[in-house]
Amino acid sequence: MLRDLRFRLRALFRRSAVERELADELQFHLEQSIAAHVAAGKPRAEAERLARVELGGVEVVKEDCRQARGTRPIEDLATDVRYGLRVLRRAPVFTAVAVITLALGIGINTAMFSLVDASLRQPLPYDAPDELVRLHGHHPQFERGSISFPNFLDWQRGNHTFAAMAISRDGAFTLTGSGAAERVTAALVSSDYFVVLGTAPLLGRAFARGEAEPGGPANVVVGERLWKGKLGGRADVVGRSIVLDGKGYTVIGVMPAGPDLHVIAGGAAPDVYMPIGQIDPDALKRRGAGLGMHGIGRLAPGVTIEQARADIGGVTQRLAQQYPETNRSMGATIDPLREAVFGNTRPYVLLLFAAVALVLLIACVNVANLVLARSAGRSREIAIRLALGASTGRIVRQLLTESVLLGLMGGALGLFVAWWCSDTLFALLPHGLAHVGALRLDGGLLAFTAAISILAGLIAGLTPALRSRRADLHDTLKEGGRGPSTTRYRAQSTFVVCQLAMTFVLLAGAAAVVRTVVHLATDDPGYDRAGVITFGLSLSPALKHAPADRIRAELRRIETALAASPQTSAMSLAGEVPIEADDQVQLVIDGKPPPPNRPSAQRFIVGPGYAVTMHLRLVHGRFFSDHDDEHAPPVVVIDDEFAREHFGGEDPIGKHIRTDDDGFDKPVEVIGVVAHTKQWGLDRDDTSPVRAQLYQPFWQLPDDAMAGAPDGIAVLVRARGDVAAAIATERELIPALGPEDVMFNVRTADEIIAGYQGARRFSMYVLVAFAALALLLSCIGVYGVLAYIVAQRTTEIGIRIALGARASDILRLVLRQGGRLLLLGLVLGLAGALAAGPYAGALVYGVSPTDPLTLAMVGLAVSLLALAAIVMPARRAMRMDPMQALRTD
Amino acid sequence: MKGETANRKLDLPQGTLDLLILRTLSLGEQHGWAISERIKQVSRDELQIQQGSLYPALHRLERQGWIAATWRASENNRQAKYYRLTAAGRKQLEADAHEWYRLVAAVELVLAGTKR
Repeated sequence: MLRDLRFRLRALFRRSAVERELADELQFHLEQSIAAHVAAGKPRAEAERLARVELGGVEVVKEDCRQARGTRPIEDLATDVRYGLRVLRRAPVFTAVAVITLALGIGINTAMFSLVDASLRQPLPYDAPDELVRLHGHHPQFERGSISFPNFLDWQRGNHTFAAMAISRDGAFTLTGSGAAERVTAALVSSDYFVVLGTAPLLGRAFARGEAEPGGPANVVVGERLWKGKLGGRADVVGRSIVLDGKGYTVIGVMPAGPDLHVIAGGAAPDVYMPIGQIDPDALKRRGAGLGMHGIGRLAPGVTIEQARADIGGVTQRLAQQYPETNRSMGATIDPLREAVFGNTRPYVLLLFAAVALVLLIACVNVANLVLARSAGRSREIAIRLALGASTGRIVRQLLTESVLLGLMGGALGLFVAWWCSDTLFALLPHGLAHVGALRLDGGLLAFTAAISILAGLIAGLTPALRSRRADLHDTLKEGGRGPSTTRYRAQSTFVVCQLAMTFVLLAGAAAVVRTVVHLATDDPGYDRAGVITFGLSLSPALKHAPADRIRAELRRIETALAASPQTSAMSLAGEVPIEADDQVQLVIDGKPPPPNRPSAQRFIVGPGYAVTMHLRLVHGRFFSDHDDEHAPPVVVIDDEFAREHFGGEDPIGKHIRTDDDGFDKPVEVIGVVAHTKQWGLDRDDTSPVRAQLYQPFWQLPDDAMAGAPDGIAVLVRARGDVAAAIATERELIPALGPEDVMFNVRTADEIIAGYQGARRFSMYVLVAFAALALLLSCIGVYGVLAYIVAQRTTEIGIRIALGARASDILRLVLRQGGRLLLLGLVLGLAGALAAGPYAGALVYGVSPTDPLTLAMVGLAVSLLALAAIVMPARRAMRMDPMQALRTD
Repeated sequence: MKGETANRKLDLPQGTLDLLILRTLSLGEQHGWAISERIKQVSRDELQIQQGSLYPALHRLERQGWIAATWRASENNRQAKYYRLTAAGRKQLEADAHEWYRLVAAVELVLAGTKR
């Protein structure tokens, strides 16, 4: 067996030596044979002839020997490849066009594959990542809600399926004492947080067991970014003290940014990991508290997620019996970490993957057309080879080898295309769409590229290759190499029709997404966000426990200074940035019987300048003024939605409402009605269960609420002139007002809304790019086929012209041929678009994916470009010189 | 072909060429031409070997490891490819020869039986 293999390998790799030996051996035989015949008295010439006849054809014997060596299939392949390469080299333009076309199609598929790969296959950067799960509290309204700290401790103690479990919550602190005051992001974590993830610190250590519980030491772990930036990246940071919100903490370690959960989910790693026990103990102790805390766990080895769900389910049931007041309807939701990270991304990525696959198909069809056009020119060569005894199977294999070679070359070049466009692709990926690293050139990616390259080659070559079997030897040779053409037209025409149809579908999809984005960008949200800057503001930690009046005084000082800036056109303080706020309040309307379900409203706490800053439309009454302060009677402004919902036809001005803020104690007067604003990234407003809106004056915040203001409020500024210049001025102004006042999270209102639209915008860019590419490829396809048909009919057209046909007749001839294809393509494409419409789902909002106007525009676009592609060869046909044309044969 | 009209020689039954080659080589190292001459001689010119089929057979046997080849000078000082039997080839020869005798004996039995 081994010997056999060695023999075959030698036959394969020392091919020329083996061939030489074979020739020598047979030559020796002939010499001996001739000598024998001469010795028997034959003349020399006769002896030579007899020797050859007895051997029976040197080449045939050689071929039989090669066969006997058992390397035939591989040698055939090698011959086919060599021959194929020669053929392709002889037609450089054809080869270049085909390879580039395939490279584009394969390249974008490879790039897209790297995205899909990241979300489906690549392991998360942790030890045994499949053991990691996300834990949430299951509340009646939220499937993935907060877990209170006492509940977490009971889950941790009561389970039998977890190796470790931790809880975390996002927060922010003001860092002082290390240069200029700065707002830093924080993750408040329980002791085992890093144990669960298995992440090792860059420096120092992580929290020890029990260290992060309430009453633990004031230690923090800092993130890589803060360490490298503000803390100078020095190794002696461990043991140093930093001041957060006015309190000193000892740095015990530095954590790398890469494996942080926030980073994996497409965000930024926190600057500081703070023990969760440092949270205000009163809040932490409450079993019913919703502090935005979510869990992460590592399953014990061999435990399935179902077992873990059942186990924690048992724990929550016991807790429900033990603490019915808070836990009666509280369960647990457990998701694999991979699901939690990539669950939202996947539908977008898969949809786009379907789109690129379509582009590749179009590219393949183009190349198939090219090959088909060329195989017409080669029919003579093929006929001759068939006549010389090549089997049709052999010819088919030869042609397929050629197109697979094209595919592989396209794939090789496609890797570069992928490299180039994956950078763009990843750069376009919106914040919050999770992704792992950049394009990774690993085995999976290469295997995928190789597989689609070969597949693309086969798809492109199959029809032309199979067609060659039907070549009629006699006719082909007689026809002088032009080839019988009508059936070829049919195959190529079918291809072009399919291409046009697929392009139509892609374009229709892209158009629907573009229209969605445009719709959302231009749809009137009830406010004008252009030129509005938002940022967070926290005051010196020294004010943390100061009396409310001192805080008000400080905020007024800042407000006055900001409003006085020449770059400020209008401004307002606010509890949160209203366009992304999620604050609801329950209501009682005075003088109305209370409805069975207590009504709610979205609530915004804003300053008197808010209406001007956001260009709110005042419908009725007035907005807040400077006089609506803490000394004046409490007032509110409502939106027209609120007015309609609760006051019907009545005039709401002067009416009174109560809120659950003070237990529905004090009546508050309605002084004005403004137009409804679309909340939450526009597309969610219509479906929001709570649509009524309520504005309360910032300065009328009760003292206890005002006491929380130093921790962070929002500021909205309408810039006068350049937004960037206004931001720069504010960045200088705020620290000048108070060295420990910090401005953070500076964004324009546009950026906030764009963030909500990120995934959709990303899909739009990519889909539009793909659709444009598809359109281009299809037009090249249409052009190629018609140019080919015109070339094939040169003689016929020449005769027509010679017989007196006018240029317009010739034009009509070509247009009719092309127009028919176009029309068929449009009809099929329309059918495809109508069928695919329902799958556009999440990407489309406010527009119909099968809107007639859109489809008409798409049809028009396809028609115009396709007609341009038809007219070019038609014009050439028109200008044909009949003498020249008739001489081509 | 020359010999065919004057003196019709026996066609080789399928598969027996290998046996003949192995047997011939069991007597000593030979090149292709000598093998064909030798078979002709020993069979008293009764067996006609298609020279064209000899070489593919040699290459196949070499691949199977039953014979091995070396290049060296021939009696008239010309480089030639010499084949010799390997140990595996010797075993194969024994097995094939045994098969052959069984076949011949069986065929003879049948022929003798039908004669009676």
